[in-house]
Amino acid sequence: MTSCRLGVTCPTHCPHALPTALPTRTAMSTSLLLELLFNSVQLALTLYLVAVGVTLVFGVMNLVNLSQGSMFMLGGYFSAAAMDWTGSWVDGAAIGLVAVGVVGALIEFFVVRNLYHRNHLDQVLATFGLMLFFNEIVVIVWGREPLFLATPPGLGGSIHLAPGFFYPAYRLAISGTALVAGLLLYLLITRTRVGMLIRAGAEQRRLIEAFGVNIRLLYTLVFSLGALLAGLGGVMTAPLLPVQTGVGDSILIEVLVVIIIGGLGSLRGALVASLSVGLFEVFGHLLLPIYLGPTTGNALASMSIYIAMAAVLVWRPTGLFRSI
Amino acid sequence: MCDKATKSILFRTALVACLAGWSAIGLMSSARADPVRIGFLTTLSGPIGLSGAEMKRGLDLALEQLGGKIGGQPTEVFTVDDKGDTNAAVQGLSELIDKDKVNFLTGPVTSNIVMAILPAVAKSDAFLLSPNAGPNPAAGPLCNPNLFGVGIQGDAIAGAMGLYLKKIGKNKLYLMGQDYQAGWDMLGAAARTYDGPIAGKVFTPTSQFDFASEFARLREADPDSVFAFYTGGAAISFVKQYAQLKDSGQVSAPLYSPALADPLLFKAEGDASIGINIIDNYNPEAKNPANAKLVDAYRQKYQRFPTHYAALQYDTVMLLDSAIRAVNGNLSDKAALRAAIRKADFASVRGNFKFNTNQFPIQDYYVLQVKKNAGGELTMAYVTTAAENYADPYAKDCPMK
Repeated sequence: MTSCRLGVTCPTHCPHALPTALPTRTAMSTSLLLELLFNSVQLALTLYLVAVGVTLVFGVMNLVNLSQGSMFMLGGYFSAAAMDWTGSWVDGAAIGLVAVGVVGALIEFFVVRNLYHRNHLDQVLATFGLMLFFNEIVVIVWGREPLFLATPPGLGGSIHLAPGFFYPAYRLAISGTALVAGLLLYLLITRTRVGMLIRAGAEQRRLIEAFGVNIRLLYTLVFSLGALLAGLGGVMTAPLLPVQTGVGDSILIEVLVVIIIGGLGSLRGALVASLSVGLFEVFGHLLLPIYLGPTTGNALASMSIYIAMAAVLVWRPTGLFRSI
Repeated sequence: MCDKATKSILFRTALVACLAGWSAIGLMSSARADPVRIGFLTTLSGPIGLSGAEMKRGLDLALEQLGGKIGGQPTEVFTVDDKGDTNAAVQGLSELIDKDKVNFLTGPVTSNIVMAILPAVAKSDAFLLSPNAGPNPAAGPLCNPNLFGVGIQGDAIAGAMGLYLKKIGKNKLYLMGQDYQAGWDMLGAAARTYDGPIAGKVFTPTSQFDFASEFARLREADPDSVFAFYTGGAAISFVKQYAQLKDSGQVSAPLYSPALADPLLFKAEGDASIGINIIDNYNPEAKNPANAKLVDAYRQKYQRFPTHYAALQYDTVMLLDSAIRAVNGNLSDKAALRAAIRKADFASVRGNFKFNTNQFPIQDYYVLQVKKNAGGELTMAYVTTAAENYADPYAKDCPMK
């Protein structure tokens, strides 16, 4: 067996490869670590965009909303179709987002409105039904073959962020857009009259209705806003993911974990939980298979966010945060 | 006008004439012809429905060219959507066998479905002609006289790619695949025949669509070639994300795969798929009359090249056609029918084709590369033949002779 010396790339069967090989790996590992950190933030912010619609709708309307995964999917479909039609990335994305917002308002008007006075199980069933409905509708309209959505022009390359550290420009753009959207949402909720009503609605629904606020319109607006943000998540990730039926379903599952950890109805909670889930997902999937072997590692990494969720449920059954 | 008696005589005469005619037709055909009843058990919904729909196109086109009669016999097709779910497949299968009394089964897309229905198929009188899926155990110890792997054996296709990688002198291979049976089999087979230094081997969960972190690791390992097994939506994500890294000079290793790109995925992958090397037992550019007939008709109907799935399902029907003709439509003599299928005396769109003792193919494997042709259309261009008359290594474990 070959002995491992410093600076020599060790074959994988070398029993003590790690300690001696470490010095040559440190420089690279820092950039790898940074890259993973950026990846987890990007994943977290995407989850957050979808989670807002679930948590806000629950906070304000006390409604469990599982249709957000579909809005994520529709964002991709509408934008891909609109980009095909207009030939421009930005125009297509804008049209797609508006379309998702409109669909959100329509769903609220025709379906969700009838569910406010029903129990949570009915709401789950109805919005789950919407998910199945949209998964089939896109197949009927666009066919089963996934659509194409290109990376926006000029964002195809990588950006040199630090010595030896390159990061894909488009992934930075996703994080940037999500941050801006999150900031705008924060300003909307804390600094505007509509935001004040939303907060009031979350606290005292009956009271603000008694004050003569058009609560129905407010509900439609909140639901539509949630749909729009999920749609934004869908558009932004579409150049990386397939635009195909059911693509929002797996996102929805992670979002539900985020919501449960963060606390139903809490925007701050959703942000904190998104970041933790992002870190768990990215670092878990990378590190656990290295240390525990691929089979155990992958299995444990896939379970890690659910284990975290279960732990939070035991420690704090209502999630980390309460208020909006 | 006519009274009751004449009416009844007329009616009786007509009835007798009719019965005589009926039995004459019946006698003519029942001597050797049984209706061909096909159970088309495939995945038509969910993400894998994409491949199932393409198989249906292959089936429909073959039936169209045969005038709706396989082996010259009246043919009926019973379609069942297994939804990619093994329970639904088993249930659909028992309905096809018990209620619809099918003689032949075809259509399963994935290996897990074949494994799930195999026990029931083995007990039945029907033959399963699997156009695509060929799980390892079904080619080895679990091989069965009722099962014909007409398309591929999963291990053989990846094994052929490994041989090719070795032949072209790659010596720092990185392997990535989905963490389930087919992924383990494919990566294992490719690594075995490649038989050289491995820079890394990574399995990702089937639900994973974002490979940023895995690609970061891949870049650190700095391989000279990447063997990847991803299908459907995960393949699209993989190709798009890898192309982004490649375009910005972060990675340079070319991709080698049995499944990352095909004419079904071109629309979703766009130019990101250019340069990917695909190993396949179907070469759309193959210069043989059977393939020309398929490609011309397919292009006319769908304005693109057929995929592996469509071509192999088409080929399966043509094989069945030849076998039923060889036994003159007599489907009751199972041994003769089976021998006729095993003979594979038909013009395959693949060119060389014969069955091994385990009833899985001995055939050629081609390296195809995604290129843009003069018309700006993405195509799978023939590069070279990776392996000729190549068989899977499981036949020796199969007790059938």
